[in-house]
Amino acid sequence: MKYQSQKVAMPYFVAALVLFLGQIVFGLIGGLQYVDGTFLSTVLPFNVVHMSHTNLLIIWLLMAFMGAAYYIVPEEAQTELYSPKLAIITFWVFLIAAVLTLLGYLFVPYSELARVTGNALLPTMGRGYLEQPLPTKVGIVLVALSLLFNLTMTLIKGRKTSLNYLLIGSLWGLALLFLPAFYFPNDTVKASYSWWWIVHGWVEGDWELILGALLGFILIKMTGVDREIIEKWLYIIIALTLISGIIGIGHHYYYIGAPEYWIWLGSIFSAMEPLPFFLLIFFAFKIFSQRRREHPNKAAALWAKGTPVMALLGAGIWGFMITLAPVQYYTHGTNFTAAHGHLAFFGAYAMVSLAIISYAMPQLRGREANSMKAQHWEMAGFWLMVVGMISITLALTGAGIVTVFLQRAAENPLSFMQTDHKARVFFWLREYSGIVFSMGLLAYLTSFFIPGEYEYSEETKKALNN
Amino acid sequence: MSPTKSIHIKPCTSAWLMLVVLSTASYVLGYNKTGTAFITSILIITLIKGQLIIRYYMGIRRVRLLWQFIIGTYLVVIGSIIGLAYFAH
Amino acid sequence: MSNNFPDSTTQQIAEQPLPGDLAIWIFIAAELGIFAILFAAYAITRNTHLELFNAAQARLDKTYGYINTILLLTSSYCVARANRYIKEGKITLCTRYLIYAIILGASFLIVKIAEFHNDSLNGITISSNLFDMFYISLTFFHFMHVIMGMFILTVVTYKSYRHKYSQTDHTGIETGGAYWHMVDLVWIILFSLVYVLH
Repeated sequence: MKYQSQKVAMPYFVAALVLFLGQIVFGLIGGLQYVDGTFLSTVLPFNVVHMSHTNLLIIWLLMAFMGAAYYIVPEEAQTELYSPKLAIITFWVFLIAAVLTLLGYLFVPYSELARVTGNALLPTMGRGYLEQPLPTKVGIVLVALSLLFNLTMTLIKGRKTSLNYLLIGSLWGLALLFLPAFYFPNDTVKASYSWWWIVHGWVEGDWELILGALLGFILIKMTGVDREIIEKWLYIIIALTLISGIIGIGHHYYYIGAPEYWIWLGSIFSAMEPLPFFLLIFFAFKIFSQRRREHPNKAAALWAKGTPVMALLGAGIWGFMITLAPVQYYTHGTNFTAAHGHLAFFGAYAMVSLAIISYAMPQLRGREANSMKAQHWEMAGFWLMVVGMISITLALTGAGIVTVFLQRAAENPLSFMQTDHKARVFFWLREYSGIVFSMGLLAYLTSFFIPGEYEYSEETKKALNN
Repeated sequence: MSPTKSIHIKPCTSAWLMLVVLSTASYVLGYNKTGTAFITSILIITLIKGQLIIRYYMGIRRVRLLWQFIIGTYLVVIGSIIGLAYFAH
Repeated sequence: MSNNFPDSTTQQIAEQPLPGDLAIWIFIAAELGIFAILFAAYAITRNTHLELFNAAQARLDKTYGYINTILLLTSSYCVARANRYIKEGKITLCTRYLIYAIILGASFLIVKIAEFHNDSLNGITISSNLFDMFYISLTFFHFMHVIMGMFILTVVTYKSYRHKYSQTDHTGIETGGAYWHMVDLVWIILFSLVYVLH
């Protein structure tokens, strides 16, 4: 860590991890409610659990991205952050808004929450992932503006690198793409369009650019490979992402009342969305193999290599499974979607966030890397979460298959609840897998409390003796 | 290409002339009725034009044969898929 | 591209690396793959909608396509010549031919826009029927690639104008040129497939 102001990243990272833990708690509760609908249903109805789970995901990922930006931008620009104080104030505003919103979800009936927070002024509540009250949404915009102002001013006064342009540019994109959250027309087709501009635009567009930038930074720092080579590969990956993803948004438009040409354009272009993920794997592994140094942070290297692989699985492969229009006709809105969503979000965005935290946190705490004991706990956490999430995905895929055969493609379709009942075994498997995942998260969090730096002399001796 | 005493045309220029001629031929033929001969000639013309661009404009002519083969295969594969679709009914 | 050597040395030169940066060839491969899928989708769909496709295709004016083919071929030719000139160290000529290439590329865009305008007047839109959908999508997607190619060419031309390239160091021209030739290659397939073949 070269600049003191990079320290502002720390509270963002800590908050991100705490909110992640909260997300998983709600995940476990929700998963149990699938198989026992009465579990906590009076105090925590499923819809409340669901929106707490998804909103916490988005907030913790945003916290992580912001922390990453505050860490990376000064180092890339070779100058202190424009205003560390603003970054800290922004952090507290964001955290307090997030906590208040969550408390609102938990303790206030949603319609009442809408009434007291002025939803009648400009209706924005009620859509998935966008359940936040109007003031929270406005708060998100202000937080984003503060972030963008701070980072852009830093970029202007410092060294200009392609990576910084990419990171800051995509954060501008993130903020702009959030604006459709304020547009909620009565026409359900238009409402769906605008919803997807945010969701697809983020996760299958803008956030992939952020992922590239974060991974690129980690590779530059950890391998010593020439920046030009890494940036060059990023250009190609980004270009492929945008070429496939922009028109690829059509794979959300097949059956919502949009014109027929989307069946074609959406299928053809979204089918190509896995391409950049293949390149990302090749890119990450090739750069590591050409490394000029042995960086002591083995855990971060594991996250950095694991991310593109899991991202390909979740976003690329599972996504491809449900992307073609004729297939989606049967799988639309089933647990296939849930399977893809979980593996993709975790594999791409949770993992890249954990990767940058893994790299930066030791630096923020004053060392190149943690002790091998801490790293082993962290790596155990990695494997448990990876295995846990893959199991969740497989379980949900099973449930999806049941739905397609019994409810969608059947001669005499069963009702939704009857079908869900038939898929019970898969929902139990999902819950057990979720427990494994949680164990992984706990192991991961434990690693932060294992003291000690990387023991260069010890590890060198071990290596020489082997 | 050995320089002749009178006219000295560079390869990329002769490639361009060929491309213009072949394009014009396609355009004119396009006003004809369809038929096996028509489809086959257009596909072959397109293959030749593609190869001219690849070898002379892109400069693949002087590159490792493997690349020439790969990119040549691309044209053949596309041509075949199109040909199959046009002939198979 | 340039060849002042007699045939006997062709064998020695046959082992050169791909012109320009390797990265652009990966990108070109991906782009060609994407267009291949689009072309295949068109051809296969036509198979099951023969009458519709033939009737709708007849509404297109081949002349627009032909003019655009000549424009793009000539533009590519100018880039190839510019590359030859820089290899001979003739920087000014190189820049000049790059400018010609850009002018011709811009002409392509203008003709294409005129054609799109004419199409909309004749009721040819992305929603009018299946053939029109493919025609508009394919040519519009290609159009976007021409714009990207123009952008790359402009950057390269500017650098050439500022004497940033030399006889021994002109990777940028070859890299940018390779992309432009790909755009040309895709068009000639598109022209044959959508305008000519019926």
